[in-house]
Amino acid sequence: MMTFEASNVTLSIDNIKILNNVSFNIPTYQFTSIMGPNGSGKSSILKILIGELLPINGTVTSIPNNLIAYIPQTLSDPPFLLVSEIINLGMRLRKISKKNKLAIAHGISKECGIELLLDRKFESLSGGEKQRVWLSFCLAQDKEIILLDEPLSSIDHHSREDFHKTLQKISRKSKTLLLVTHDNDLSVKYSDKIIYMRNGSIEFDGSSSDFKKYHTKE
Amino acid sequence: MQVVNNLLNHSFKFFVLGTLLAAITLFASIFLGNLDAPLSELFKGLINRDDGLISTIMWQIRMPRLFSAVISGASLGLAGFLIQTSTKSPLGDPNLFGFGGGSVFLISFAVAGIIPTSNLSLFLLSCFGASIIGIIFAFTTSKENLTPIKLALVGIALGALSLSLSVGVISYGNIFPSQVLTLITGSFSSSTWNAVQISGLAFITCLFLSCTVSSTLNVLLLGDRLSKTLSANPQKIRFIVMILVGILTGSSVHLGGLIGFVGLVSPHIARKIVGNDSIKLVLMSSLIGGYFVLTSDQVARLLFAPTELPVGLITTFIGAPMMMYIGVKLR
Repeated sequence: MMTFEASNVTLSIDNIKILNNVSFNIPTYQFTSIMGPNGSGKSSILKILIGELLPINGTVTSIPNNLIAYIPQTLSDPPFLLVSEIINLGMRLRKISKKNKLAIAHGISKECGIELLLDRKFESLSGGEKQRVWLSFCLAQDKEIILLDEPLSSIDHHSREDFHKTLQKISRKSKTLLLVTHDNDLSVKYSDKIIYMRNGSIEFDGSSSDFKKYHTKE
Repeated sequence: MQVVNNLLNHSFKFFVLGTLLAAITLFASIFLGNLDAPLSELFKGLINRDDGLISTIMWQIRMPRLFSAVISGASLGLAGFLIQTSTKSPLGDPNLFGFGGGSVFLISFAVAGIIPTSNLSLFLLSCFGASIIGIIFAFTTSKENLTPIKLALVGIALGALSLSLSVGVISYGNIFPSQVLTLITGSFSSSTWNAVQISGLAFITCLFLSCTVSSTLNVLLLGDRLSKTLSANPQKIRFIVMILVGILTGSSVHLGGLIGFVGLVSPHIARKIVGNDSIKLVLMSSLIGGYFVLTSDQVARLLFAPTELPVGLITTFIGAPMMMYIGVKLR
C-alpha cells in the first residue's frame, strides 16, 4: 500500500513559479480531486507525481511507475484500433491467459459502461465514450493508483455526472484515484477529498463535506 | 464498400480468391509477352533449362523479373505497414515520404558516373540513402503534437526535396532519359538474378526483424506518453523501425526504381483482411504488396505491348485515388 506525500514542493519553469511551497498527501483507496482555475498548477502536481517534472525544492514520495496508471490531458486518437484492442493493450504487461484477458476486458467494459462499444473503432466514438475507453485502459493495467488529468473537458453535463459516478464506484474497489478537474460541483459531490489550488498554492485541503462549508463561507 | 467488406471478412473465400488471382498473375508473368511461340514450347523452355532462346528468355528475363517485382512489392508493403504503425499515420508510404527519394539521390551519383558501382554497392548506397531519411524521420516524429496530416506534410516535403536533389545530380551527369525514367517511375525490365538474391536476403532479414518488434508496434499507436507507461521505449523502437524501412525501401528502389503508393495501399487492404494483429499484418502487408506490384507489372508490360509503361504509373493510378479516399476519411 503506497501513497503520495509531498512536502514544501516548489516548482519553476523558465523562472516562472508554478508551485509555491506546496504540501499535501493523497490518501490510499480514496477519490481525491484537485481543483482550481486555469494555470493554478493542478496539472503540474500530477506531472511531479509521475516524475515528468522535477521540483527545485521539497520532497515527494517517489512511487515506481509500475504502480501508476496515468492519462494525460491531451491525447491524440490512436488510429486503426478497436476499443477491445485498446483495453487489451492495457493488459500487456500482466501475465494472464488469452481467455482470462477476454473475461477481464468484458468485466471492465461493463464497469465503465462501454460493453456495447468493444467492436467499434476508437476514432468513431464520441468524446465521452473515448474518455470511458481511456478509463478502461487504466483499469486494465490493474495498478493501485490512477491519475486522470482533466478527462472531462469536452463532454456534456449528463455524461460527466455518469463518469464521476463510475469513478466513485472504482475508488471503492480499492483504487487510489486522483482527478484533476474543472468540474467543481460534481467533484465535490462524488469525491472523498478535495485539494483546491490558486496561483500555485493550496487554498483548501480537506474532505469534500468540509469544502462545501468552506465554499459557502467564502 | 459493404459488399467488399463482407467478402473480405470471409477468410476462406479470400483464400480461394487470392490463390486464383495469384495464379492468373503468375501465369501472365511467365507465359504472356512478346515471345511468339506456342504455349507448349514456352512450357518446355521453362522445364528443360537449356541455352535455347525460349529457355533463356524464361530464365534470364521473365523469372528474375517476376521475383524482382514480388520482392520489391513485398518490401514496400512491409515498409508501409512499419511507417504507418510506428508513426500513427494512415497516410504513411515509404516513397511518398522521401525514403525512396533518398535512395534515388545516392543512386543517381552512381548512374551519373560520379561514383563507380557494382550491384552490391548500388544496393548498399540505395539502402544507406533511404536510411538517412529514416533517421531524420525518426527524430522528427518524436514530437508529441504531430498529427497525421502534419506528419504527411513533413514526409511529402522530404520526398520532394530528395527527388529534386536527385534530378539535379542526374542533369549534371547527362544520363540517358530511359535510365532516369526507370529510376524515377519504376521498371523491372532490366532485372537480374544477382539483384534478386541481394534484395531477397535483405527482405527476409527485415521480415524476421519486423516480426520480433511487431508485438510492441501496436503499443506505439497509443502515442509516446502512454506507450512509456506500458514499459515500451517508443523512440528506440521507432529508430529501429525506420532503419528497417530504409533498408526495405532502398532494396526496392535498387530492384525497380521508385514505385509509388504500394506502401500506402497494401497495409490498408491487409487490415481489412486480418484486422490489427501486428504479426499477421507484417505478413499480409508483404503478401499484398508483392501481389500488387507483380500484377501492376503485368499490366505495365502487356497493356500496350510491345511498348512498356513504367510500373510506377500503374501503381499510382490505383494508389492515388485510394490516398484521396483515406485522406477524406481521416479525422
